[in-house]
Formats: sequence, structure tokens, C-alpha cells
Amino acid sequence: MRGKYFLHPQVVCEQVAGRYFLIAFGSALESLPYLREINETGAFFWKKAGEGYDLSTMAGEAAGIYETSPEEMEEGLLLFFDQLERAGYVTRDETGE
Amino acid sequence: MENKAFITTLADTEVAFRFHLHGTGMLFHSCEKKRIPEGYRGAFLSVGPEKFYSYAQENRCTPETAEFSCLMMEAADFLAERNRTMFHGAAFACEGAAYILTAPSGTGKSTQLQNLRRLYGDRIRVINGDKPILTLGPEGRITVWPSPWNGKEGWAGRDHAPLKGMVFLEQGEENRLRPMEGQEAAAALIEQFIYSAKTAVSVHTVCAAADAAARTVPLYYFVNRGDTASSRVLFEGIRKGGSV
Repeated sequence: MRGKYFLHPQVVCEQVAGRYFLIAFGSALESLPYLREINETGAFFWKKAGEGYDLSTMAGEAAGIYETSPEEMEEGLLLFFDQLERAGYVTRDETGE
Repeated sequence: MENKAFITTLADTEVAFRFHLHGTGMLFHSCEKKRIPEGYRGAFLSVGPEKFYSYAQENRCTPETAEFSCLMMEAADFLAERNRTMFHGAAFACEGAAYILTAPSGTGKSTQLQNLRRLYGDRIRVINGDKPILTLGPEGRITVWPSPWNGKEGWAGRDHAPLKGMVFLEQGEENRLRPMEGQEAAAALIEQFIYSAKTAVSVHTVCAAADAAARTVPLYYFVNRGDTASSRVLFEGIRKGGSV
């Protein structure tokens, strides 16, 4: 599995009391809700995507941490980013690089 | 325009305001106003007439109240860039410690504060009736400061104090106070900060304050009838730091 997702430049992931929130700011508030909660694994993926990791690398790394197979992790990753993409939080890198 | 501007200190930082309507200046009655020094080259917080007249129409209030309210949001955004946050709640001090009652508007913050003042007199010192300012110090310590935006009752104080407790209010048929875990309160806490989330820095300031409050300050959930008995339950509970 190849491909990357770009994070919306006006959304940050913040941790408050052990919970994780995607918070939209600036003009992003016109199309996104101010606050959306994600779980710890989601926050991990969000951070990795922000660091420029592609999905394969993310899945491989996360599989080790969360003790699951890379294939299962890939499925979860795709589902997670698909949901975020439909909501407008990320865009898929169509260049496939 | 010279007499329609002043400098004041909000949570230990200087803020300069400029306004269009004379009456707006009167609404800043609770804060100390200093003349703008000659040759002042700093920034002013101000809003254009178009914005506050439109606000007045939407909210059915006077243009002065509208300008005052719009300046509040300007100040909140200004402060959020400077490690200070405006919070929606009624803040009071008791024995040197600050407590904040928070809830959506019309959920009994003012009623509880009024009851506490009636019951406990001078032991309860109002810091701000509606929109106190919070600063985050070393080791996550939060200090609560007054602001000129005091709510419709106009409850304004001059003192500031370290935050010792925060209470989320809900109207109900019984009076029951219980401690809240920080995790449980996280989202509600974030929502109670006042700012327009224009920048990532301001979002981070708010989240850092929310995180500190959730981690270092006792939090309570208080279902209450809004009567005098409920305020006794509240007072005893937050001073003992447990459930009632």
C-alpha cells in the first residue's frame, strides 16, 4: 500500500487530560467543526501523517506498537483516513509519490 | 478620538482599547483606565462600526453594548496570543483561593454566586461574574483574574487568586456534588474558553490551560436546584474537596 495524506493546515491535534482532539482554527472553521475527538491511535496516525509518513510505513510501525499485523493495521488506517478525508480533515496525495 | 481610548491592565498585561461610542467607555467601569501616553505607538484593540452595528441588530442590544461585546472578543483573542485565556464562568475567591462556577448561560451560575454571597458574606469575594481571565504559571498553576466583562449583574472584583476548584453546574431536582475526573471534563472545559480560534497559537494556549485545569485543579459536577440549600452543599463540598 502506498500513498500519503496531507493534513488540513488549519487543524491541530491537541491533548487535554489524556484525550485527543482535532481542533480547527482560522478559516477552517467555515467548513469543519471546532472540536472533534479522536482516540490515541488516531492521534498517533495524525502525527505520523504530519511528519510525512506514507501509509505503508505508518502501518508497519504501528503494527509493532499496537501488536497487530501490518495488514490489519493497514485496514484500520485506510478506514481512519477515509473518514477524515470525507470530513475534510485530510486530503489524499494523488501523485502517489 | 483621543478621549475614546485608554490603556488598562488585564491579567497583568497592558491592553489599549479604542472605541467609537462614548457610552462604550462607560461600560468599562470596573477597570482602571489610564490615558494614552503622548506618542504611544502600540496597538489598539478596536472594532469597526459595521461589525458592532450588525452585532447590535443580531443580538437586539444597544450599539454601545455591542461595541463593548465585540471588544471583549478582540481582547480574548489578544490575550490568547499571550498565554492568557478568557473563560466563561463566575469566579469568586474564598480564603485566598479562587473557584469558578461554569455552565451554559442561564444555568444558574449567578444564582449560586448570589446565594453564596448572601450565606457567607465577606468570605466570598467576587473576582468576575461572567468572564474571568486565566493565566497559566509554572507547574500548571492557574491564576484567576478579573476582566471588565462582568455579565448582566455587573459583578466585578479587583482581586486575583490561584484556582482551587472548578464546578460544572446543571439544574436538577436534587442537590448533589461529585468530583469529576479531568478526562471526563476535557471536552466541556475546552468549550468554555472564549476566543475565536484564529491561530494555532491561541488554540494551543487554550488547550494548555484546559489541560492544566483538568490535571491540577479539583473539578466537580453539581446537579442542583438553585436554592439556598444547594449553595450550602456547594460551599461545604468544594471546601472539603469531596462528594456531598
